[in-house]
Formats: sequence, structure tokens, C-alpha cells
Amino acid sequence: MSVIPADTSDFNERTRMEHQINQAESEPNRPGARALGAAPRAGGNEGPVAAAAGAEPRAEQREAGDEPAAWAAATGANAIAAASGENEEEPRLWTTLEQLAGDPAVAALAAREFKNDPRPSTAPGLFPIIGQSAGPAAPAAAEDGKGGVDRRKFLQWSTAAMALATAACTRKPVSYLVPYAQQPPEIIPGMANFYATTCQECTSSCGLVVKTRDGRPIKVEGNPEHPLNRGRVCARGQATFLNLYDPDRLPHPIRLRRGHVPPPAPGPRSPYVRFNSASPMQNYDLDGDRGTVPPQITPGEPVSWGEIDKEIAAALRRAGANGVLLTGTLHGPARTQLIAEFTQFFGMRHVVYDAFNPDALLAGQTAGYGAAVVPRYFFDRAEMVVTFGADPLAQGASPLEYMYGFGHQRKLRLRTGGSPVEASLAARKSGYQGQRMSRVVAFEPAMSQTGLNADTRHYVLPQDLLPVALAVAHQLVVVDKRSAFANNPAVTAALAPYAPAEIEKAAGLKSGVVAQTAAELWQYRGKGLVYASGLAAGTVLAAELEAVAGFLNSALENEGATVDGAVSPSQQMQGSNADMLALCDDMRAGKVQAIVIYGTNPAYTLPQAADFAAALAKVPYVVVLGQRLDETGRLANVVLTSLHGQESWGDAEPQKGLYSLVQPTIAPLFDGRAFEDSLISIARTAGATQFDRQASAAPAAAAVPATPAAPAATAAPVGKAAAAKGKTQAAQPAAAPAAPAKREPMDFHAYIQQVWKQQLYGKYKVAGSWEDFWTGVLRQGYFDPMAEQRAAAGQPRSYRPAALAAAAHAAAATGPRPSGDEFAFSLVVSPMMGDGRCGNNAFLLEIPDPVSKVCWDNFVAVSPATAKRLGWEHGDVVEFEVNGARLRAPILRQPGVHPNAATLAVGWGRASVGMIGNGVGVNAFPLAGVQGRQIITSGAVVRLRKVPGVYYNLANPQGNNYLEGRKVALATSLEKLQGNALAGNVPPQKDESIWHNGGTSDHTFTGNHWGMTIDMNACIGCNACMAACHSENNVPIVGKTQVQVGREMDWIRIDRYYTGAYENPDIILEPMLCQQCVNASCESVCPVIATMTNGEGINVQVYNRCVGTRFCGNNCPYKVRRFNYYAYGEIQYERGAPLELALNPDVTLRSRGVMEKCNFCLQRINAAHIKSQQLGVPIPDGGFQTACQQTCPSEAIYFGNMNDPNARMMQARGPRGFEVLANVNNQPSIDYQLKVRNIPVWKSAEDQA
Amino acid sequence: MSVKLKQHWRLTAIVVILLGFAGWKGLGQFTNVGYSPVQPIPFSHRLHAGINHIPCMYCHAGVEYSSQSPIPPLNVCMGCHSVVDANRPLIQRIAKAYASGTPFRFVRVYQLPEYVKFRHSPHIDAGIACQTCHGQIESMNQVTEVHQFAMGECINCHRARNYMPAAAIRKHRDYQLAYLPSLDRHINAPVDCNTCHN
Repeated sequence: MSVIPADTSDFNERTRMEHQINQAESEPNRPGARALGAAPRAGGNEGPVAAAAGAEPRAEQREAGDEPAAWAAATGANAIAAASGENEEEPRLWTTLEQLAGDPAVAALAAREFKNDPRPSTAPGLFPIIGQSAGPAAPAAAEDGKGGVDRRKFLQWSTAAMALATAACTRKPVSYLVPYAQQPPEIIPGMANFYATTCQECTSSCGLVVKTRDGRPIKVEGNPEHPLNRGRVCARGQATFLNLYDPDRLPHPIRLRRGHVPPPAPGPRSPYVRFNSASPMQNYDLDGDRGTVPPQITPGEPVSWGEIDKEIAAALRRAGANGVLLTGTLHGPARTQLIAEFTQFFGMRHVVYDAFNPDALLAGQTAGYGAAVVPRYFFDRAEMVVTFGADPLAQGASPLEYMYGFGHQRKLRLRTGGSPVEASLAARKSGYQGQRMSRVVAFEPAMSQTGLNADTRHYVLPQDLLPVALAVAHQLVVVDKRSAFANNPAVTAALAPYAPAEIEKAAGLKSGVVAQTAAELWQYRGKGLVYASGLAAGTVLAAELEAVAGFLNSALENEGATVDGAVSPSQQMQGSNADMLALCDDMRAGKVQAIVIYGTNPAYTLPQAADFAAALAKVPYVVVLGQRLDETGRLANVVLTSLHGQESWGDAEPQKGLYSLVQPTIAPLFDGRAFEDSLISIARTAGATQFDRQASAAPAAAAVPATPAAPAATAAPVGKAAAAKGKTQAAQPAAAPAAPAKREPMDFHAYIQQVWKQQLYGKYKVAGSWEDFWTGVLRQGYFDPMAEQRAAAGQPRSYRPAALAAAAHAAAATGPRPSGDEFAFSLVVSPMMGDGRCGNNAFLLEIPDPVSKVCWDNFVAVSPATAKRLGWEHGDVVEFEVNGARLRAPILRQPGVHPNAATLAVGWGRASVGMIGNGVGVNAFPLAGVQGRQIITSGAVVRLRKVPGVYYNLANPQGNNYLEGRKVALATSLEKLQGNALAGNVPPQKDESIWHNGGTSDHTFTGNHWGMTIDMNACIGCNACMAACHSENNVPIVGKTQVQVGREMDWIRIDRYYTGAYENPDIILEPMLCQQCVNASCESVCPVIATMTNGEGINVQVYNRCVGTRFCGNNCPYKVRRFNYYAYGEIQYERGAPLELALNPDVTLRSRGVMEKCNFCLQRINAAHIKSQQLGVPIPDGGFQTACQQTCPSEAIYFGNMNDPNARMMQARGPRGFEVLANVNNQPSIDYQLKVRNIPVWKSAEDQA
Repeated sequence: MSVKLKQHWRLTAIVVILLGFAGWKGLGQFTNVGYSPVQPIPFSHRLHAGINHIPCMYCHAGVEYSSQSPIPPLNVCMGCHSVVDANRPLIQRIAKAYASGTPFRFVRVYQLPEYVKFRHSPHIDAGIACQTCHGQIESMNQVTEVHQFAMGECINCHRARNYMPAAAIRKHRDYQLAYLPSLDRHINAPVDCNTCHN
């Protein structure tokens, strides 16, 4: 098919492509993108073509034709398709509702590659909870790009610049080289060291390997041996250094005048908001004064550590039993013991509270199994997952472990076992017969990240989750008479009222859904998983739902197989809403005299009904320990600076019997002290003796090699870090090897050693000396003495039918239901923000939400159908009242939401987190309800009122690209794939190449030819790759308004495509990065050869050669090239020290006016080359990994040498692979394995009816 | 035009001189040849490397692994000078700096732009002598930059080292490894852009 055909269809096809490439982008965030109601037109892309002036008539005719037919004709593969019965085309892809509707306004904008005028919001930033103080609002957004620099000003500046260039032209600026005075033996300047530690960004405690260069950590990767995350890190873990090096961290301990703390400055201090100012160029480029960021103003007065220790010790002494230590979840033997000793010494009590607490799960488990445990879920063994209002991929006890397991089960495998790569090899020989993948069914009110990945999604109201779960149980036990409970009269009697037919009708499900789910669950018994923990399931009856989920797991024999509640349950969530609410009551009653708060932010995360601020006001003495002055800190008497996880010692026991160690990788950057060291110091000040170094313990501790990075010395080359270094902490390591004095203080480092020696080394009778054990643990990062038992699980607990009966009884009253224009309101978790503790992290704010693809905001998600009925459009803002809290928030018409459901993500709207995050989004936590000692996050019935005359523009980077009806992402079902290995995958006819000899011989790669294989089945949309890429490649953040004009800089993105009807569409997730085309269309248009394919097939971008014509970006069919409009990289780091320490020194920080893009982590390739040359061996397969591949929780990305047929990456290329836009004939180096949905045929027919 | 030039020859001359001066100075930005700043301690490479034949990598230890050539820390100086010439005032300055933990701030002589990622280790590995780039450093009392580190110098050297069949020059590089008899192995000096720019 590569010859030029005589007929014109190929020519037309080519013309079409050229048109389309030249009118690539569009964006939904522009005025008038409101024609939701317009019916999709056949073909759906007349608009753009009509809009393109001078479009060739023949091309237009071709466009107007029926698109599937045109596609099939173009492919010439219809014969194959017909022969295999593969006539049905997957429905058309779409990304936004406007594109689905074929909105002419979208089409008009599609002709513009580079856009520059988002419609300004009339309600910018900050939607405060009405009634609370708001602070000054952000200034209205002005149009960007218009203000610029006028001609006169430009000439003035040019003249000045010329004059400066001639007059002040000297040699290069003088710079200095500062060696160490005493170089630590493990450091060679310029060489990276790696330390194993444990992530402290959330409580799930995944193992990390931290890369440090010259004493500063610059990149985290997963610890490949760690049993929890197996080498993978989530987006929040990857973004950790923006938290560590955040200039907005509290620099020193402070004392505050309670009640007189000024509100934090809201958004405008953020450099990202300042893009809104009329003349961004003046601010950033010609104006020599770059330091226009106002300095961080710390309220209160600095206090010395010694003074504050005395004060706290005295207050805690006075308070005695009326003292409280309130912390987030802290596990780990040393931490647990320290807290126990501390609270015991002062006679105070310990309350644990996190933003997300497993109260309902514990209640359900207690009812069902008699013990309050958070089970460990084995998603890696679950071949069938059914969720009820839950989002285990985004919010769970151990999200990364779940993501890993979930993603791996999504991959196609042989039924007989083996790896996905083996399955691909087998498929090449004999197709996909006999291959399997997991099946995922989600019942949820709105689309969650798990729902995004579900084969079958059913939207149900939160109120209906419990009845539906009971109906599944009814079908299983009563109708089908299956499971061990089939003959249990108590169970059958309890389930009797929940006949599936009625429940389905009430819940609005299609008939037969319950029966089918139950049948499938039974089919997968022993390797299925029913999961129902999450905010959206947190109705009044959440505990009952958990009890039913437990029942289903027990009845389906999953208990003990995929659910482990006995051997090694999770300890990652220990907080309790009930305890916290009780504490609030105690505080209100004046029963608390002093409180120490650490690792939790109740002033931000508690519902408004709990009225935490008023309760805390009754406590005479409040101490908050934190890295930053957060909402709770502002209510305190004193705020002590605590340390980031990369700066401190610590330990963790995420699951029973799995111990993980936290070791510092950098000296403290600010005058901070670890929480644990603070506890020790306070207790010692109060006279405690148990924290004195014992005479016998001292030599042992001293013998231990001074571990990581000899903090004080290591920080020296980075200048500012050394200057900012805390004095207190620095003194301690120096004191460690000294001879034991009379009352030698013990730091937490020594304390951990003492506890681990007693509890672990002794208890598990480890062979070898203690020093060897300790060094080994430091090296390994964790200690897993019960690995085999933990992996086996296999101790099913017996379920008490009474729990089911109680749940079934309670379910009779599900509370009020929304009717008409009412909504059942649920809080949900945004996977990027989580509980909001990373609220100042620009990476996480800009990386879009996996489902909605909206960044820099949260929103009320409502069904498009309902929005249409109510006349709500893009940009509308609603006001509503839930549980006594009133709020305004922008709406998003999110496909897949129940018509009567509305959701809002928590974790946004931080009031006091830092200059980037303050006031971004709205805080949804206060909207939760309080009922007794329960916090209700879902199911409240609300009325949403549109606020007239207000327009709020959400940033949606996915909408910036316009599909033009092209099939860039493919999907099929497992059933079809088993029949035909090419199902859903019809290779299109390729255009003639403009390169020599049809593009085959111009580039030959005799050595390595790097390529990638992406398994779209395994991609779960978690965005970890994006964060890893930002961190590894110094990819800058641009801010909301710049995203709105399509200037986001992500080198890799996850495209989320909808197919099918907009009420409940199917999803295809497609990671999109530079395809490293062999015959790259960018290359042929670059006038200065700044982009060229190198000898290893990588399309390299030479920044210093690029003159910024943007031709390449225009000509790239994949829209992966990013133009740096405003020196984003430099702006990001102008916020000040120590933020620039997060930069990777191996990668150029691109300047303004330069095109940039993914280059397969060239710096890693170069390093591998050097290593291979030094060792004299070729680079082995897997000898290095790209950053995205390394971190991908589900191993969806394979990378390797395309010239090596035995490379894992090549072997992973099964017959279902396709090239995106293969017809352009760019010969991309990335092979996508198309998405497969596990939908049984008899099911899908009904489902799509 | 020529008439006008004649009329304004003074102005023209001034402009030409200014432009030439600017060009020469501007070029200096990139060449820096002859740059020889005074260092905080008058360390003599001539004395150490030249007269006393101390190998370069004794002090610049780690250059064979690292992208940088490490500036020796004071403890390396004191390794010898706690005994050798310990009483000389200059040495005592070093001893004092070492004792107080305040290293000297050496003025950087060799400096490449940020977009050039030069790595020492592969060059050491390929048997390139230090003097190839740094000149006769063993005869310098004060380090002076002798080479203009323009891209042509890098490229020419890479081209010369690499075996490159004539047919391959027009095309992309085929990564033919050059056999280096002195090391008895093949080396690879690619001229792809990404070798230095990423």
C-alpha cells in the first residue's frame, strides 16, 4: 500500500491530514463553548474543515462522509474485518462535551494552533465558605498576551540592551568552586548517591530510593525490593521535593498571639497567578528585577528551642490527664513506643485523627469478624473487583499497593499463568485465545479513578449502594443458592427483602445487572474482591455497607485469599473520627488544658459542624508541630517547626510485621526539629530520664557508622542550604560519637536503634551482629521478617451472619432521596491532592485530575444531562448548602455522573499552606455532616442554585487538543480479541513519505534504536509518570491561565478519551509523549535543524540551537511539543531558596522561546552509554529506565532497544499493537497495545442497549 | 552610497571600530582564552604535578567516575601538608582553614554554558590526557585557560577519534566504534547533538 495509488482517495486522505495537522488545537474554555445540546453530526468534523479557509472541496466532501466508512476505506482492511466478523467500529472518540456536540465555536478555534485569550472568570479564585473571613480576593484575570510590551518600550529596551552589551562586555561572569573542607568518604562531587528510605507524604509508607547529588536529594524512585510498592511511586511521592524545598515552609519556631493572627495572603502572591497581570513580560523578562515575589511573612515572633521546651513541658505538667497528644497516623515500633512513653510520662492521652479515617470499615469489620482491623487487600490476586462507591486507586489504606496489583491484573495473561510478556509472545503465535484479564465492575455515584478503569460502570446514588450490595448478596445466596451461607436461615431471612428486581428498579439500574454481577462474582470466587471504603460510600449507613462487603467477600471465599484481616492487616489508617469528635466535645467542655498537635490538620479537615476552631479556643495551651504554618497552626500558642520526611529519622510499620525505615537524605533546611526529637526534648526538659542515653547503649550507637550523607558537611556545596540549616539538629550528630556524659540526651536516631534492637533484632532472632543488621536495614530500607506468612495470607476469618442481618435491617431506612432537581451530594478524593497536605505543590496542582482532566481547581461534578435540563453551562457557578455549610463552586458537566448526584473533591481550597496553594479551589471538608460520632461524607440531599451573572473558567488541558474525528486511541473487548487478534485494530493505509525511499532508508540504526511499548490496558491514569517526568526533566509549571491557552509544558500526559454516549461513556486512557518518530514531521520543518533524529532513533531537541519558530509544534500530529513562552522554568524557581535545589543538574533548564519535549530521558541514556563504555559491554536490556517507566505503578510502560528482538519491550508487543496516527507515516517508535475491556458478550449487548 | 561613506568616514570608522571591539569582546565571552584569575591560595600545579610528579588523579580523585573533576577538599591537602612544609605560612593558612572547616573559594577557570553537559569520566576513560584540554597544566604556576572551548574543538576531536565510513557521514551516525590501540579497545565518540546537549 505504500505506492502512490492512481485513484484520488489516497491523495484526498493526505490532503485531509495536512489540513488537520495544520489546524490542530482547540480548547473548550473559550466563550461560547456551550452548545451541549447540539446533536452530534455525522462524521462530527465538518466544522473544522469548513472553518479552514481554502480547504479543498474534494477534501471536504471526503470529510463529510460517514466517518467509519471513510476510515474503513482508507485502511483497505475492511476485507480482513469482514472476514473476521469485525464490522462494528468502536464509537467515536471525544474529549469534551463541546467536541462531542460538534460545536461550531470549537471548530472555529480549532483553526488556531496558538491561542491566547481565555475568557476571564468573573469570579476568580477563592470561593470562601460564606460567613468565614475570606481575605482579599484575587484580582480579576486580565487577558494575557495583549498587554505585552509596546513597540516604543521594546525599542527602548533594545537600545539599552545593546548599550549594555557593548559597554559592559567582559569575560564570563566570575563563579567560584568551593570544595569540601573534609569530604565525606561516600561523596564524589558530581556522582549520585542513593539512599533507601520510606515515603512520608502519606501514611501508607512506601519504600523509596532517593537519589542525592552533592548532598541534596533530587529524585525519588521506588525501592524495587520493597514489598509494598515494589519500586513504584505515585504522583504525590514523585512531587515530594517541591514540598521539601518549599520556600513557604515555616523557617523557625514561632509564638503567636491567639486570636490575633492575620489571615494568610491569598493567591496573588503566587507567580502562577501573577501571569494574569496586564504585562507579564514586564514582570519577568525585560525587567531586571526578578525578585518581585514578596517575601514570606511569618506572623508571630521567633522563639528559641530551649525556651519553648520549658514552656511546653510546664504546660503539659500542669495539664496532666487533661493533656492531649493529637497526631495523624504514626506507625512503626519506635514511633509507637516513643508516643506511648511520652504520653505515659505526662499522663496525657493520645488521639489519632487523619483526614480520611476507617471508622466505617472498622465498624463493619467488627460487626462481621469481631475485630476492628483494616484488612490488607490483595489487588494483585483479584481477578474480579467490584467496588461500591469506592476508589481504591485514589484513596485507600495503601493506594500504591492497590494500583500495582490492580494494574497488573488488568494486563492480558495466559490462563496458565506467566507474565504479560509471555502472553504477548504467545499471542503472536496463536492469538489471544486462552488469555485472561481481570474484570472490574464499579457501582458509584460519579466517575472515580477506579470507575475510569472499570469494564462496567453503573451509576447509582450513594443511598442505593447498600441496597444494591444487599441485592447482590440476595441473588447470590437466596436466588442462586450459592456459597456457604445458602442454607443459613438467618442470612436468607435477612436478605429476603432485597430482591434484585425491585432494587434495580429503585436504583435505576438495568434489569439483570445484579444477577449478572452476582454470577460473575461467583465465577471468580476465591479470586475476587468486593471493596466499599471511600468518601463517596460514606453515607449514614457506611458501616453497614462495609459489613455487607465483608459478607460478600466471605461468601465468595475471598476472605483469606484476597482479603487478609488476620495475618498482616494494614496499619496505615489508624485515625478515628469518633475519637476526634469526642475530643472536640471534651475541648468544648473545658476538659482539655493543653494539646499538642502533629501530622494532622483538623482546622482544615473537620466538618464545619464539628466547629473545631471554637472548641480549640477553649484549650488554654495549644502547641502545633508542622512543616508549615497551616490552618491549625494559626490557632495555636506556639508552632514548632518539624521536618520533612527527607530530613528526619523515623520508622514505619505499614502492615503488621513489615517494618520500614525512614532515614534523612539532607540536613534540615530550616531551623526545624523532628517531631520525635521534639517529644524527647520536651520530656527531658520536664525531667524524664528514659530518654537519656544509657551508658551501655552509647558505645553501640557510636559504633554505627555515621549514616546518610553526613548531613552538615554534605550541605556545604549548596551554599544556601548550609546557611539555612538548623543549628539544633546539626549539633546532634556531632555529639553522637562523644563519650557518654552524665545525662547525655538521646536523639530519635539513637532511640530508633534502641527500639529496633530490643523489639526486632531481639524478637526475630536475626542472625549476625546488631551492627550488621542495622546497616543491612539501612541499605535495604525495610525489614520483612514475616515475608512468607504475609504473602500467604490464607487465614479466613469466619463471618458472623448477625452483622449481615443488622445491616439488612438498617438498610430499610436509607434516609431521604433526591428527587426532581435535588442532588445527592458526595465528597470525593482528588487523586492528586489527596487530603490536601500537599496543597502548595505546584506539580500536583497542575497535573490534571485523572477523570475530569481539570487542573488548578476543584468543581462540583454534575451529570451533563441534568445540567442541560437545568440550563447550566460551562462556566456556571452554583451555590448550595450542605450540613449547615454554604459554599459556591464552579460546576463541571462530568460524563458518568448519576443524574441526581453531585460530587466535590476535598483537598483543595487551603487557606494557609503557601503562596502557590492558598485559595486554589474550594475547601469541601466543612461540608461533611456530623451525626453522633460519625462523619457523613456522602448522601446529603442538596439543592444547587446557579449564581446568576458569574462565569468561572476551569482549566482543562485535555480540551486543548482537538481530535478532528481521528482515531487516536483504540479499544476492543476481550471476547472479540480472543476471536481475532486484530480486533478493533485495523492498520490504516500509510501516506507516502516525503523522506527518501519511502522513508525506509534515510535513517538506519545499527546500534540501539530506543523505543517504547505502552500497554493501554495497564494504564490506570494515576499521573505518576507526569510527576516523575516533571521531577526528572525539570519540566516547569505554567499556572492556570497559561494552561487555559494551551501552554502547559508536560512532556508526557495521559489523554482520557470518551467513547459512546455522554451519560455514561466508556473510557480509553492513553499516555501521550513524544513518539520519537523515525520520519518526524517536526524535523522536516525546522529551519535551523534544532530537532533531528539521532543515531539511536531519538528525536533530539537542541535547545541552544532552537530559535523558537514553533513550526515543529505546529507540524507535530501528536501535539507533544511544548513551547516555553515565559521562561516558565526560571519563574518557577524565582520563588527563592531553597526551591532551586530540586532541579536535576543533569538536565538543562530550558530558557524562554525554546521548544522542548520528551527525549526518552536522554541524560539517562547518556549515563548508560558511559557506563557501557567503561565496562566494555553493550547496554543490557533494562540497563536503565526512563523516569515514567520506572515509576509507573502498573508497569504499563516498557522501554528498550527496538533492534533487540529479545528486549522485554519488543516481546511485550503483541499483535494488538498499533501506532497512533499511523497513516501520517511518521514511523513512531512507540507501540500502543490497544485497550481491552473485559465485557462478556452477552453482557455488552444488553449494556449497550 | 560611497559618497556618503566618504562624507561620514569618521563616523563610519568609529562604528566599525566599535563593532569590531564589541565583536572581539563578545567572542571573548565564548573563548576566554588567557583567563588566569588569582586564586585565594597560590596553589602551583607546576610544583605539584610538574616538579614533584604527583599524578593529577591523586588530588582530583573521582574524575574517572564523575562528570566533574572534583576540586580536592582540604583534607587531601592536609594529607601531605600536615607533615610536608607544615610550618610555612601558606600551609598554615590551609591548616587553619581545614581546622575551622571553611574551605577556600576557588575562582572557576573553565566554564561551559549550562546547555553543555560535558562529562569528564568518558574522556578519561578513552585515554584523553588532561593536557589535551587543559594545556601544559604541569608547567603552570597559576592556572590559565589555553583552549577556546568552542563547539568546533569538541566536534573536531570527536570526528577524528571516531571511525566513520565515508558513506555514513551524510547519514546519521552508525556508532562505529573506533579501535584505540593504546588502550586495546574500542571507543565511541559520537557527534550526535545529544552527546553534549540535553
